[in-house]
Amino acid sequence: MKLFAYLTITLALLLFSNSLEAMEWEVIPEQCIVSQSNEVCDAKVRISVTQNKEVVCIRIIEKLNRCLPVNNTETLSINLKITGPVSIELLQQNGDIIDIKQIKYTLINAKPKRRRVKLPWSVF
Amino acid sequence: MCPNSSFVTLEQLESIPVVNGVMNCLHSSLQISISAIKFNPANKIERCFKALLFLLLFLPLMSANASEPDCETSVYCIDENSWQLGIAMGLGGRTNPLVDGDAVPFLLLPDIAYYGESFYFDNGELGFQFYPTQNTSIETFIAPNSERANFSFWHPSNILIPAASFGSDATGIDDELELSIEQIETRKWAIDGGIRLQWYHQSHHFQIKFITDVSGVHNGQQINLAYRYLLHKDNWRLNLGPQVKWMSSQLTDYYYGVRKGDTPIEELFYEASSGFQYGLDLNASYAVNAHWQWLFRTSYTKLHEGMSDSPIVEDDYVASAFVGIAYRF
Repeated sequence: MKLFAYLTITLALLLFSNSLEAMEWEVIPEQCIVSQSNEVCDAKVRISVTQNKEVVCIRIIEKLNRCLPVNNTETLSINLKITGPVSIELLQQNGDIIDIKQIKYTLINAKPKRRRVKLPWSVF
Repeated sequence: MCPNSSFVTLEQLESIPVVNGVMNCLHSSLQISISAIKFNPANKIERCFKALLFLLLFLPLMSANASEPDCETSVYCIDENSWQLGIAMGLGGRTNPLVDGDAVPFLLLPDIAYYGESFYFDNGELGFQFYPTQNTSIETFIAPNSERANFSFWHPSNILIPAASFGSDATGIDDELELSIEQIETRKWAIDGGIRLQWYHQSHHFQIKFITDVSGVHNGQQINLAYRYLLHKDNWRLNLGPQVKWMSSQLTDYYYGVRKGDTPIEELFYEASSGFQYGLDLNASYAVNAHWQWLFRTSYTKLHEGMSDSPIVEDDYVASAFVGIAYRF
């Protein structure tokens, strides 16, 4: 009897893990690159999910707080104004988080720095 | 190690281990260098100077593995293709070594710089940089020669200062055979053209520049060799810099020589000669916030005898100081 119970639990775990492994999803773009901290990326964010049987939804933190259902092999396109890092959650129907991805907000110095040949305030 | 006595020979200077020797010498005592130059023959001075130039040129190669100084947070750096503008208000001035020369009051101190990809304008100097890196730069430039500023208040660098004079009235010829600058022929402005090599290593900054008169006014030259120690602690930024400047006889004689056109009195005729001038400056600032900072600057330069012995020169030094608050736009 105990052996049967162990087998059942093991099988259930295997099935569950398979369903998670099969869950693949992608968020494009992966990052927003700006040259000034107050710059905004007007991005068309594409979220595509490849899954087997699970019905899932996505939630975009601080942008889209309701869970947006997404069907198998479907690609969602959402226009976003990105002013900082954006976290996107992939959820099960019961609200459990399956995975989280982030669109990075990267500030680069577009103008390289140069050393001044004279000391500041050295007009005299 | 650096010799401790107040007099060092060229042999002693040359025997100092190359990097530490020059650094320590420059750091520890300006007087040592002054004494060495003052009491040694001119050819030895030139050899010593050449040794320093050689050292300066090869220091970057000797420290190829040194960590790069950080330009991202430095106040000595500027974004490419941008302006850096500021104005400081305070109290200060610069002495004038000439007989009846007006001291220059500092009440407003501007800071104007623009840097393109290679071209730059920095506080009156117009130049072009070749291959600037975080550690080194080579640039050619033109700038007004500052010697003329001693003869009149309206030096380009003084334009923003309200007119004022700390000097006395003209006295003419006195008992020591001095000659007032108000009685001599006008000296012209000259435009310098030059090339400068700079090298940065952490808190150390070395610089050498070769300058010649490109305006044909005096056809003279000068060479500047400078070291600067930069310190950044919390909101404080300090830098201390000894320097040595060689002025050619043509340059010195044009401005500080006395000839027929200046006075009919032959006893006052004077042919000024070349020489080395030594200086030290200290600059400090305290950042109150991103725009405001307290500013303190002071400098002292000892003039060479070929200049200070002139009848139109009464002091053998130039000193300046400024204390104020600065606003960076």
